[in-house]
Amino acid sequence: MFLAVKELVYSKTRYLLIGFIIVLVASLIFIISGLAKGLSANNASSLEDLPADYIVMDKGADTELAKSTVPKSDIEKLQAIKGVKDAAPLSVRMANTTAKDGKAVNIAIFMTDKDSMLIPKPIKGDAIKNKHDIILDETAKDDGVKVGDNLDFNDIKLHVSGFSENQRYSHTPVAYITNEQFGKQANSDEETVNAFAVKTNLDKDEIQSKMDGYSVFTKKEALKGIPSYSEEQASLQMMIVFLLVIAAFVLAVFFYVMTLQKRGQFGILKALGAKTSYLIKSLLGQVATISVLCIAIGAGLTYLIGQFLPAGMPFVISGEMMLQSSALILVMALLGSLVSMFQVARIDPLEAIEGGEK
Amino acid sequence: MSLILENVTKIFKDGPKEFKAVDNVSLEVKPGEFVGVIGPSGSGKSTLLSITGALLAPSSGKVLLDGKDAAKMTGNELTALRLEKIGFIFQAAHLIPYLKIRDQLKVINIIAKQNDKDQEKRAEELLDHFGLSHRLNNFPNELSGGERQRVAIARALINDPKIILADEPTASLDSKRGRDVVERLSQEVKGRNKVGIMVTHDERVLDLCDRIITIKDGKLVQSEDALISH
Repeated sequence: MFLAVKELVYSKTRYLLIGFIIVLVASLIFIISGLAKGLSANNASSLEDLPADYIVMDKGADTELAKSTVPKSDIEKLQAIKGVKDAAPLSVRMANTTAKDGKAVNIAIFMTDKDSMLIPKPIKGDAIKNKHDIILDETAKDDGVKVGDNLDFNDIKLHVSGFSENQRYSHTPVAYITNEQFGKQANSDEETVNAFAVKTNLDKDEIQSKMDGYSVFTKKEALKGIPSYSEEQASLQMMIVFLLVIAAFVLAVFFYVMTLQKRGQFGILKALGAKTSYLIKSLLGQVATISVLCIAIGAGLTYLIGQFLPAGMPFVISGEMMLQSSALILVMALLGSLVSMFQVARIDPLEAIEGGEK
Repeated sequence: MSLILENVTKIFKDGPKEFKAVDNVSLEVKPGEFVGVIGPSGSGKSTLLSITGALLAPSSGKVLLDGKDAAKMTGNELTALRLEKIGFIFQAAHLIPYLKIRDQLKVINIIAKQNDKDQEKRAEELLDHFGLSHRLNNFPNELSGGERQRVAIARALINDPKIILADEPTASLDSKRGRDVVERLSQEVKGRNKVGIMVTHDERVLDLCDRIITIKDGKLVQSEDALISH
């Protein structure tokens, strides 16, 4: 590291320039990751945070909750499996109503049982007491809905008894309800629901093997069934992947050119008895030092930017996500320096004799 | 430690043609002996020096350093040999541009894993010996050509090598500075009983050598004691 650090300090300007690019790329990666996470929560926090492990749908549903129809009585089959701690029915309806001020409000109605594990705890107001009560996601207040309001859904009147948090589905606030009325399918005598949510220690295949004719999905898989979820995430993920590759290439080109410039020096050091491994360690030390510093600055910058984003912007950053992205950038940076490593390894100490830098 | 070259030949391939840069050279240099190598350009002087300095493997022949054949060593062994036993001085000083003069020597200690107080003191003494004690915290581009070349010599000596090899060390210096540099090399070889070989074009410094070897077309054509004494 002696050589690495001495050179970084001596050639400040050129390393500052490359550092600046890495800071910007790292910040952009963090910001887009934050947006992806924010959009995901805005779209589907109700499923992300569902207090269950798996969602059981009918075979043809293809992860799409609304497409699935299962007879409600089959929940007993599920509850009979050894290792299943709890199971609850779940139905989803998209509905619209009007707030007091006449504004149209879209709401995703999640129907479940009265004593269901799925019903969220209100962060404001009261829990559900009767079948006309709903617990609504707090973001509905942006549409002018307040705790205690009555909302009309065609012929049924519902009362907002409390607000919950992180309960969104398909970019709309979720209302939990225990009214069986909403669970009934049209044109069907049998009582049906969309799916069952399961809490268990068993793994997915164990549940699947006991539930013939059903498909068992993890919450992550079920997210894909939400309209537009995959498309949103995929486009942002693609940007992140591109940025990672760009970071790797920018560093690769920079260090490649630097190494070319320093061929003479490397030749001299080898002639004086420096092992290739020592020189490569020095190179990797430089790449790692620059990357770690720049990633840290980029993380700080992202945090700052996050403070100034408008409240409505879906932007969520977490330490875990930052660490993950940071590690990825660092790995890409080191991959980018591979070309230069080969370059250093190939340099012949004889170049010291044949010329090189004065 | 003595240095013996036995029937050393180096063949370079240039497309289908082959040419012998060094042709069956045998040579022995004893400790305390300072040998000058002269000859026209392209005669194979530098190639011979590179082979002696474990930078280049001969096509055939033996390079015996204290009885061990360097021609048979692996890359890592050669690197270690250069680090511990050989002090190389190039045509240009070839200092590392981003290291202060003090650190030019320190980096060798670090590479040799001998970066301790004793070696630090030795580095300062060496630089002082070469009249550079006021330059310890300067970068190479702040030094004159002669000063830079003296730093390069100090760097070549920091590990107390048994063999000192110099490839036209006066090429970038005026005659007064050039002579000064060669005088210091000669003192080091004789005073500390080392093997010294210097390739040079500069006839004005040949009187400082104990023996002069002439190479022509890769062959050793003459080996004589220096006629001019000082």
